[in-house]
Amino acid sequence: MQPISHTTTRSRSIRYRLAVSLAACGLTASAAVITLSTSPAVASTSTVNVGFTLPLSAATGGLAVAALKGAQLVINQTNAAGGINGHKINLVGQDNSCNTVDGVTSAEKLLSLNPKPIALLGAFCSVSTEAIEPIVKRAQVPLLVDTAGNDDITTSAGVGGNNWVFRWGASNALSIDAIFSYVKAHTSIHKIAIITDNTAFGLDGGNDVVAAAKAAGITILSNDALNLSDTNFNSVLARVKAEKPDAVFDWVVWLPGAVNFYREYGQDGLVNTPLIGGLEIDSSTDAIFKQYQIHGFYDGMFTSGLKTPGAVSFEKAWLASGGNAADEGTAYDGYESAQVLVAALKKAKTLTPAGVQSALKALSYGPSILGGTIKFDAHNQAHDNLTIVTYKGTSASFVGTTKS
Amino acid sequence: MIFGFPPSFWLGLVVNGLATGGAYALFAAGLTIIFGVVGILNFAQGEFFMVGGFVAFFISQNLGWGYWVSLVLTTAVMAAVGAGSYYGMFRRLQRSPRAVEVGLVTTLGLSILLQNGFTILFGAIPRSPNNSLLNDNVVVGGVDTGVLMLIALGISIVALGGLHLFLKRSRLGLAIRGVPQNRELAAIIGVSSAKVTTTALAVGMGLTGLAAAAIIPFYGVFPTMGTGFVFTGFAIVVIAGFGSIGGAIVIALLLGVVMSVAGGGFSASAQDAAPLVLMTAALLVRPNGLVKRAVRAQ
Amino acid sequence: MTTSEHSLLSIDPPVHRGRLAKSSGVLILLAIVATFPLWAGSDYYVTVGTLVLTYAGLSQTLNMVYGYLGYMSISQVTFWGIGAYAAVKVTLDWHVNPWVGILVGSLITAIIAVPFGLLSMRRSRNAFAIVSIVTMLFAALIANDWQSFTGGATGIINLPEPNIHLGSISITVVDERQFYYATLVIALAVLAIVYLLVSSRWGRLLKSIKADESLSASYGTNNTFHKVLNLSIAAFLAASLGAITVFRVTVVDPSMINFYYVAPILGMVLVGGGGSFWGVTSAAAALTIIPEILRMTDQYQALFYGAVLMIVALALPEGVAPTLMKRRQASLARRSLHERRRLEPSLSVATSPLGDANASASVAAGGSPAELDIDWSLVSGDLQEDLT
Repeated sequence: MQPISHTTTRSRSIRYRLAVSLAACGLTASAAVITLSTSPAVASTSTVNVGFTLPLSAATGGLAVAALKGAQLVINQTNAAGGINGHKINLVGQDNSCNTVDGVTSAEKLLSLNPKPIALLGAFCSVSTEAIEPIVKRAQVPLLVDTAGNDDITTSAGVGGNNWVFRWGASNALSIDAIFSYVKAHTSIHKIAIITDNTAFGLDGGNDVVAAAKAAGITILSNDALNLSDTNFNSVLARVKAEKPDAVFDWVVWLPGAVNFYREYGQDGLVNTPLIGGLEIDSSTDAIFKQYQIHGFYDGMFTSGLKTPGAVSFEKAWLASGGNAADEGTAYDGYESAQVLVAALKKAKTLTPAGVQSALKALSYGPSILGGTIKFDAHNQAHDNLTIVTYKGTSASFVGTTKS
Repeated sequence: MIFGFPPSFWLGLVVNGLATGGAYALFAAGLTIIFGVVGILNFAQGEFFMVGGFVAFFISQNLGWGYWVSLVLTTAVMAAVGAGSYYGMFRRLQRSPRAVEVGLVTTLGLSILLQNGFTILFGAIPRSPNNSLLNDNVVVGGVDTGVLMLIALGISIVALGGLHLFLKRSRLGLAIRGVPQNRELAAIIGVSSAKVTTTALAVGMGLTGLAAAAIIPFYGVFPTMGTGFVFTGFAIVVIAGFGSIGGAIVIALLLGVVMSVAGGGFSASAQDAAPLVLMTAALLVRPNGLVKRAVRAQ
Repeated sequence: MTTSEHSLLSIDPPVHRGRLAKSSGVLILLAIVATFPLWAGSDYYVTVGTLVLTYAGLSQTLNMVYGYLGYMSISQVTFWGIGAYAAVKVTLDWHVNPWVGILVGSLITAIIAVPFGLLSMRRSRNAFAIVSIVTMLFAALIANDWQSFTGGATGIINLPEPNIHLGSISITVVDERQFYYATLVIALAVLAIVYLLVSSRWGRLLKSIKADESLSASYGTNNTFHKVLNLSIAAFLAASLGAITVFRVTVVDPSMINFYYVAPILGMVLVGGGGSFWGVTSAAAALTIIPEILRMTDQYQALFYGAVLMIVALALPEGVAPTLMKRRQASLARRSLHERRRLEPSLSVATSPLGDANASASVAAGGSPAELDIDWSLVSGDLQEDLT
């Protein structure tokens, strides 16, 4: 049998494979280094674990990384001040990819920490939160939900539902109702154009806006759900402008593309039309709002203009830690979540999941960063303040706070 | 009045769409060249686009050299990156017995790596280089089109015109056109695979970089900016048929117009669905792409 | 799963030894898999095990279409998603047991796959990949926007538990361990069906279609029928896995139809070697476990996963299994030839390592070893006899 000689560039191939294997070793080594350097020591028996599940990978926008850091700030402050009755808190974050399958796996991973976490924070994305709810119920560990806005989270929590799920942030419906109360009481707006986005947040919120508008007797001229990775919103905005609405209702999620939306809103000469709703004005959009003098009002959970004592110390701590001003809105989510949790931990009779659950149920924490009180109702939903802010450009006046 | 809007409104939408299409045209042309010659569907093309955006931002903003300089330099830098990627990655992929599939996984991995890496390094919030033209609009029929977008369209026309000349007149250009049409024949004739592929990658990535530099003032630069672009770019290449560069350009402009008309005339969801609907229609009507060109099935 | 050691002086034909070792290997593996929840440390490990089963099954459905037909079917994820929605809608709207919903939903998906297959499989393989991607995007869009039917972007939540009440038998499927077994049942069925199909005559028919379509058509084979049938079965299997997964996470939403699931299964089929049943299965286990190990790195997890995919694809373009097998054959052959020379010094055969010979034979036959999926233990046994 004749051997067929290969015209392989064998030596080059071997060199290539060697290079690749070296890269692999380098990668493993750096993974090990990062793991060892970033995972805090859990050796001490007086440490309690708190898990945070949130979308950390880039494909989900990567914005929630700031939330994890915001929470870490509070935990660091608490630990530096002696912890909770001498117990230090160890905060562990896990990526949930903003979906259900990874959401479940991330929660399971957190729940398998040793010692078992006394509470979980999360999950930023409504679908991940919903997938995790049955798990925390089975594991009997409280889940403190922050900004996942879907209304079903409230209706299925608390009385008659899942007693282990608590939400301190306003649901979509609560926020939207608050705006329409203001609209009815203080404005003569009769026709609106609705602009949302095609994520769960935007579409669910959009439904709430439609319902609330109808209830308030306000005409809806159009309802658009933008794809925020588009470049071009000019066409949609041109049509909205031609409709001549009294106001444009904005319920657009805070993804990178939203900045472009606001810029085009200003550029397209819609400035005379108030932009109302659930805006988020922070340093990445400050310049745009100032330049075009976009005006209107909104209710928000956080804005860079907010000057309550809590907001001031938060901003200071965030910037001092090297955080980006542009990420403040997201960082606030994690920061306030941790504040609420730490307040409950301090009140807990025992630092166990059940103890934390009771403490949350009985909690009356204030003032929050928004100047309200966090107290959970029968459906484990808190009614923090929502700031109603009228703004023009970057100057904002707080008309007042409304209970959500 | 047509469908409730004056004709000037529709004209304005068309102008707006053409401007958007311009940037997509550059991107799509680059994608077509790379796929045609290299033979590998590059899932990381959007991330190369994003890297180009960061390079352009650095040049125009951090170094302060401004928009026009960044256009030229970003193209050059990305062209070099393209050439380098041949030796670093694509040559190896081409030699694999199952190039298309291996390429898919490798470029997918690269895409994940770049997106997450840049997010960790730079954060997710978009930045936009200062540009005095940013606020200027051209208004047609009540539809605003940014001056910068029209400039991007102009740049596309110029660049693609140059591309056309290169492809028609130069030997290397002819080789680039020829390879996708008949890979075996090209090899037999002795067209130097390495030289052609490197050039194609350089040209393709250069165009991608140019597209990025042209649009970051009004689109912003952020780690996930590639995903939106690559999807639309991919739609264009599918509709036009792989291997047809001229077709990609025409379809890009057309798609831009269709999206603008859909969004302005109907709803944002219609605008969002337009590329998909057109892709499906094109695939049903003409399986190998709308533009008639004999491209051997790979 | 291992080839047997060849013993020169053994009387037993190497073939039977190989089969025995292989069967006992499989039995041991089954025993481990079946008892895993009993000795796994925590619910988290059980969940990882469930993921391994899920991805092993899903990647095999891709392997079925790609490895044995050559079509890079990203639409497997589409079918997994459509199957999930179909199962949920059937369960909720027709008020049936979720298992019935899973079965019917999978059938519906298999039926949907038929027109898709007819439209898309008549073209080149590249075109098919593109059509797959487009279909997936379209399905995701419909799932997201058709709020009244699919629940829109939020999906449908609080899915019912797939408990079974048959007369006196009552099985609850609620917690992680119970869902492990529920997934195990489906995943084993999927794996068994794929294995039986591709090692049957029909499997060889598919391979002949893949190797040369015009040739098989000239024999009177209705290529399109078999290709579409293959796709339809693969769709049915993928759908069943998608369905049990959404019942496990209690929510069905558009994120099921997403590139997030495409990358892993592509990687698994590639690393395992397209067409290699056990290669893909072990690659599925490895590529599911690795990201979980990488969870140690929190936000860097995705970063490292991308790097892993790249490195593996670049370093082992033929897949781990075929590469390992080739090396193993080469070393076995070298050893056996040394033995022969020791025993019979007069032997003067052009001594090329067996591995090379097999490799060159396969190159001459027009495919890489993995694609032809020949039982290597058999071939090297035969060639050894020839050398005598």
